[in-house]
Amino acid sequence: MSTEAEVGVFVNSVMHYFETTVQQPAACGTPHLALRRSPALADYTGVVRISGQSTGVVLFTAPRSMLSVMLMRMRQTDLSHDHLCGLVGEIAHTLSDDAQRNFRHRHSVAVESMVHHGDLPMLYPPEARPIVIPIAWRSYQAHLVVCLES
Amino acid sequence: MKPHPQDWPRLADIDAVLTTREPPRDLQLIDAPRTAGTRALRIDDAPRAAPAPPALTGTVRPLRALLLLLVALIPWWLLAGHGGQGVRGLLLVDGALATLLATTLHYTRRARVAEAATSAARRQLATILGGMGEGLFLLGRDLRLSANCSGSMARLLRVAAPSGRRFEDVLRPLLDAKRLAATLAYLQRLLDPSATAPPTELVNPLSQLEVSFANAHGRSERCYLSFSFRRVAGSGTADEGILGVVADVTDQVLLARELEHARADGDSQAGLLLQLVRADPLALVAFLDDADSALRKSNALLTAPGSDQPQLQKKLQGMLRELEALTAEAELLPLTSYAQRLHGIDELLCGLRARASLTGNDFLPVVIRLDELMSHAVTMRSIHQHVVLLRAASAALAALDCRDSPITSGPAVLELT
Repeated sequence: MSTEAEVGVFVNSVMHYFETTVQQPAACGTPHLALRRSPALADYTGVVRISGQSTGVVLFTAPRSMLSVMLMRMRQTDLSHDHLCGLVGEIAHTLSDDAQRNFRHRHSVAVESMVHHGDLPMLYPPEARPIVIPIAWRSYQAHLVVCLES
Repeated sequence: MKPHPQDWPRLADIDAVLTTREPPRDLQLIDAPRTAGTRALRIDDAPRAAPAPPALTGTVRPLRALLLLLVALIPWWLLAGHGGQGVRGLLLVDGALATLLATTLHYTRRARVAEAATSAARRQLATILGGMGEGLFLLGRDLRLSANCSGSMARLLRVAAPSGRRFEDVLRPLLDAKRLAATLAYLQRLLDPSATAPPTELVNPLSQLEVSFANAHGRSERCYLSFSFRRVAGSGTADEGILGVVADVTDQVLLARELEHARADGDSQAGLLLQLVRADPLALVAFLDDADSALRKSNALLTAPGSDQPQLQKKLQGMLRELEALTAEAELLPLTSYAQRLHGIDELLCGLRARASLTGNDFLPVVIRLDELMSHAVTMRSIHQHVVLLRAASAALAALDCRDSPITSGPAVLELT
């Protein structure tokens, strides 16, 4: 079960990334719980796997179109699959760094992998209810998914 | 007329000057007073800006003695030349000049070595102060921060340049007036040599300080600082001060709170068990089903798209309606722990309703509490199932007992209510 402080760190981390790196702020939608079924993943997903006192995953999942526009805004001309993977990976690393800085006394944090459309479905801890936070940026929507269990 | 031998510099003095082995702690070339018209070496124990301690001025004597020797030799040489002993006088002057040159070179080299050692020591000190996680500082008797503070002071106290500032001014944004006054009184008492109570017995008002700073996103970030102070004695009363250390203890405080929370949870588990045992089983199951339905509906309201103010207010009102009925039902049963949690969500939602504008992120605490409430409901259902099984097992045992020994009459069923 996630705490407000834990989820808040990840939300702030993503918002800060948009403000500083993409240089255009994103808006946080209404968070909700993913009940009955796992949250839908978009084209590209960066994954941070957390272990320690709490275990679970934190995902940033975004459609290809959104990531492409983000890259263009960051003055990148190469919009290849590798670069899109690199972008979600960078966001995952940002999440990981912030998690390590804030939860160093409780968790060991590791960026385990990055997945994209077509990969195996994401495995969540059993009986977990992931918290889904919509991230609206321009006309696009990504999702931040936080699923931690004590 | 030749100078009297008693006026000549004594060889023992010169020897003592030349064989001085005590290394100067910090040799620094300075301009001598204008009347002297020459340069001299000053030995300085403190940083350059500070005056040389009186105890070390005796080390300057070798140079003075050499200069005196030179001055004393000049009239003697002149007189010796008039007496027809020019060669001997010339040799003596040459010897004196060579000695002076050698001495000057010797001290210049030692000064360079000392300067290099001082620079290295300063660099090491800067590295130590810069690398410390804690904030280390020295307060003078006027409660002003010293020129040298550890690098983390600025980060911990969110002050751009704390060095040299009044401690009161640094603390003012962090403390209310009452606590600030208590802190200053505590520090003054620490400095007071006539204080009867030992400094360790005084209560430090800053042993754990909760402060809020704005983070990079403009949000308020809460953290906990711990200050500790210790009086340090100097060579004189004016040099006395207070050595202070400030550390960020947020992790420790939060961990302690979590531990306390876990303990409270453990205590509440026993209370929960008692509540569930006492509750009517059918009513309890019906309530848990209703609760599950209401919480899912509340979550569905949040899932709906739209982040405009009217849409957010609509979500808020919908959740309040859903949870209101559930709270009343929980209080009726009575399921205190569940009702308390529902009240917590209700307070959060009422707080949001009072706000002029809402954002999606404002609902995050509500979702976290909703998740917590669902977990609590799962725990309740699980405990209830165990209670039902226990009751069934107890009834079966009682039935077996009745069949095996019809004469025995005892408690038939485990009395849990």
